Amino acid sequence: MLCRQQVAELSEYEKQFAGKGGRIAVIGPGEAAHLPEFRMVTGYRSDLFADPGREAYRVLGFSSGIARLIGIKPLQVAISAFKSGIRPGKLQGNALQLGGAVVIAPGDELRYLFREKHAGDHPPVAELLGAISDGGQTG
Amino acid sequence: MEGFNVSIEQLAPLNVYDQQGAETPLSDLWADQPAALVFIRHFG
Repeated sequence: MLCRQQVAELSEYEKQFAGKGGRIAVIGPGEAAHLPEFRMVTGYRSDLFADPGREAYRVLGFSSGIARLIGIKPLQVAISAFKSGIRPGKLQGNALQLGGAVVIAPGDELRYLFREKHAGDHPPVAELLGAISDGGQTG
Repeated sequence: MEGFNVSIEQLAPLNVYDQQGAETPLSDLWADQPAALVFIRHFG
């Protein structure tokens, strides 16, 4: 799955976040009970949290609409997705939820914001590391 | 780069949960050093 792959890749860079004086945390929509297995399959060892109500996703403006996920008109998408077997709730969390990333420094300083535009659109690790190390610069 | 039209004041107090079910306010993550928070689509 894409998300496992994304986090497995992140796990290769975990030490670099600490090396630049920062930290990394991965947050997922779903229940905390799923976290141990997710760690096991990804090899990710840093901070990992669940946001079951997806409140942070809403505040950050990370889309949860199927239209944004696939990129065509909502009704067409809903029909074709339903025909192809996509049902909200089948996956842990919400299959229609997109993610993203922020880098925030002490004092609530938002240095970086990345909103995924479609499934598979992930924040580049180099940009995250760049925002950690050189305050204010964005990739 | 999109504009930063985000309210950190709204984000800061929101709680997330670790694997023991303990809650942590998001603001704890960037209290002492810069933090990258990566929000994934699902735990699939």
